[in-house]
Amino acid sequence: MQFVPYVVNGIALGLSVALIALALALIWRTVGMIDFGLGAVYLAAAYAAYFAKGVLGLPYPAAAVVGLLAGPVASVLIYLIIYRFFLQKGASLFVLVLVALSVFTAAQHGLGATVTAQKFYLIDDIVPGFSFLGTRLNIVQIAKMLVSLIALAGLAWFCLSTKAGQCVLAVADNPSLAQALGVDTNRARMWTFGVAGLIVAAAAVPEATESGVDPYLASNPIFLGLAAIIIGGLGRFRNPVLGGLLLGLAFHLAVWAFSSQWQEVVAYSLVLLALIVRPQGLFGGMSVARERA
Amino acid sequence: MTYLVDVLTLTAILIVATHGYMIIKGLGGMLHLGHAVFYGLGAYGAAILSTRVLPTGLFPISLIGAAIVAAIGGLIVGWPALRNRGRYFMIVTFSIQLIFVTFVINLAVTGGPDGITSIPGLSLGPWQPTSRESLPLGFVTLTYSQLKLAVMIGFAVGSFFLCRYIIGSAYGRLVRAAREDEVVVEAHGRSAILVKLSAFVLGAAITGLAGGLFAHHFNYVGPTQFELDATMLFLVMLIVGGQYSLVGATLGPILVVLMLEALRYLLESILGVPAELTAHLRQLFFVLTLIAILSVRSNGLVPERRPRHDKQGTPVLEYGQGSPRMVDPTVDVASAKVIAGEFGTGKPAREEKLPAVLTCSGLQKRFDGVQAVADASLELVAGKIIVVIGPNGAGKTSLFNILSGITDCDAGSATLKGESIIGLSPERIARMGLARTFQEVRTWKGLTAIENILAARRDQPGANLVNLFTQPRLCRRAEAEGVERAYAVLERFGLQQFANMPSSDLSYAQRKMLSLARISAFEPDVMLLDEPTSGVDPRRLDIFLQHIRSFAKDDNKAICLIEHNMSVVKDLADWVVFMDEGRTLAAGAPDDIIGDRVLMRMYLGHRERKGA
Repeated sequence: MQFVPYVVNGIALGLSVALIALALALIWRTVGMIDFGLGAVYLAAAYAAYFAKGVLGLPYPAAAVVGLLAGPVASVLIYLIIYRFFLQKGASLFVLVLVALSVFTAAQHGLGATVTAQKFYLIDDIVPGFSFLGTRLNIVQIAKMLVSLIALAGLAWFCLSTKAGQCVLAVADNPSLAQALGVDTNRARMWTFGVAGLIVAAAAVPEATESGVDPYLASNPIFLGLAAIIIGGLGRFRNPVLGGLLLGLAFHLAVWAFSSQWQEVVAYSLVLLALIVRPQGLFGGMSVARERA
Repeated sequence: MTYLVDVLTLTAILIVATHGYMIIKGLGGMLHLGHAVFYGLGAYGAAILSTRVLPTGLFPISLIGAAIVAAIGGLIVGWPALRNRGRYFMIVTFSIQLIFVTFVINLAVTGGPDGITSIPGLSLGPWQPTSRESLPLGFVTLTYSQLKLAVMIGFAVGSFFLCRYIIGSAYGRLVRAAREDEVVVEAHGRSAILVKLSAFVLGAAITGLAGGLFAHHFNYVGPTQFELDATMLFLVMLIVGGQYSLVGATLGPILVVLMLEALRYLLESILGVPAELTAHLRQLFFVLTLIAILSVRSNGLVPERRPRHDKQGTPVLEYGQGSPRMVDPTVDVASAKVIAGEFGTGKPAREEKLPAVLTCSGLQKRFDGVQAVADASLELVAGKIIVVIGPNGAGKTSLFNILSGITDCDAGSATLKGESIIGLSPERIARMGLARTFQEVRTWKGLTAIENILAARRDQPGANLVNLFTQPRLCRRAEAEGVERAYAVLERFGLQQFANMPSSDLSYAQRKMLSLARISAFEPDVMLLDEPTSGVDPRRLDIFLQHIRSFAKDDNKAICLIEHNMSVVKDLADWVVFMDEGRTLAAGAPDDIIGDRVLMRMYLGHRERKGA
């Protein structure tokens, strides 16, 4: 069996997992919670793009922009309406995770109950493809990788070169110190959720374009994103990216080595292995100082 | 009617599973997110045992098998997860939840995506009823499903009383103490990881039993029954009722099933919603209920029940009902009697040539570039009080942490009663006779004052889960005796009227006093007291000093304390050790050390520099 296609597909998956992992890591470090609610954000972006294209009849590029914008809007709204209340109450990590998981489940089943669990496609035409290192890739798959790379670069630019990004980083580094120095925590959190929502949307819209939308679209990406954080650690922002790539490769090489039915087992076993061998993440520094009780 | 019986049967099974969750999450405080895994392990265990391994008619054996399979699962998940101080517990259990379903779908032994069908019902020996079988019992005739309901309710009731016995025992108290503060449990001679792991395995076994009941009730198990959704269902049931209460964990499933059935009726019969949507709407309803409960009352409907321990013949203040006068912290502490004789005049310990109980020398510890302890030596003698003084950051608490095994050290030696304690676990060192208090008090907050004393005691046969069942009478007798002695301890420290008050409701001074009472209940040979009087009202300082003196003079303990108040040092110390920058620089009689201008300038100089 050909080896290279699996590597290419693994990297493609890894990049998109890395985006979700970064969004999770950003929120984990800044707000101190594991935000499964990003699954709801993922669904919001995917369905917004679908509605813009399929129901409103907008051209695809416009629909994609609608999807990308829906991500941050949904993320910030979830923060403002739900999370902020619990965060201000000083809720425990367990409660926050339950709330976030509930938001995700509510989004899934809310969609299932209103638009049915049917699968819808954004584009019906057969898209042109190219051969690349013996791998057949269509234009959507190539665009997906490009969007992931652009989003990663954009996140780096935001964090390092904008004032809002610096504030987010300051809060991520030491929330109480940042607060003492006059950084508005609430504003920093809104930026965090907004940016996280945008990069999740950057993963969601291409995925929805490639394989259509249904209410269960978000489960795998979110859980893989969490797995990537565990494998990579979140001491530095490159760690989730490395974790995501490693996981994406493992996911596809598992198919190459065993069969497709074992790919999830391999991926999550990697997680368990990482937890047992190096609980601070393979690339070091999972010192979650702000971990809640 | 059949439908109602079916719903009730399932409710009884869910109650058993929620009891298991309550033991893990409520009693043990473990952030467990994969409960459906244990339920599934039990269900699959029973299904495989009864369809492929055992001959038919061995329903009880397959249930035991189900519990064992789940317990083994709990052991495998719990050991590595808890070893990391439970920090990643939630992530591990969540990952296990995700892996479990994938495994079950892909393995042949679990029947793949189709699951396992035609699992026998409640058959016992030659009696192998079909679902249409009816059983004449005197003047009533029970159908098979009614009989099954009765059996399941029997299991739910049995599980309730089993859990109640365990929660109310010395073991249950220890699990709660470990939930509140693991480090303090280890400082009192018990391995917090083992305590938590045993509670986890116990909870898993109970849940596995429920899973086995489910398999025999439903006659089919399949992968979709044990997904994340099922864990969410258990969570809602646990949290609605109250995760810290067994009654809550029993009411939760009943309430949730009631709500779901009401919703089903509303959707199907009144609103006429198509069937394929009701499942989604039910799930939606669930999670919205969960968010609502968490935002309004995150501890659920029923709060934790703290066992009361009364002393025979003495009126005890009922917490929450007593007159406010009694809760006034100024009354109790000052009125406490101290059993103390005459106090020594503070001869240096070394002149008496007594054998040292604890010695250490050349201890070193480095934290990421900071040399916390550079060269610390100490010698403690029974009946003497050694006071360690020194500026903030001198390494005094780090020294205590090394001696009590909470942090390891890089170099040096330490012996307790002639045996080396370097590299031993905190619980081992504590059992050898060294106990400590903490600067930040650290009582077990969710436990009452008397429970704080009881949980710290050494001889508790009931703290061992096995003893609870093999020697119940011994456990009961030891517990009654323990309560008696705990009251004696509380009386000695003037805390008896607060015996049944949660220690989080005590005043700061009372909690400090309680931590002295707790260390004395543990009966160590060496006591390391980390700033036992800091923050105590000067008017009540005297009573604290009398107690500490009494530890040395009456109980003949070797005492070492860290202290900043120089008048306390002068008052208490037989011998003073001066520490700075991780080194024990000088030791001598209190007057010699405090009178030494060089040392005092070092001490105060640091403070000035720090203050500037």
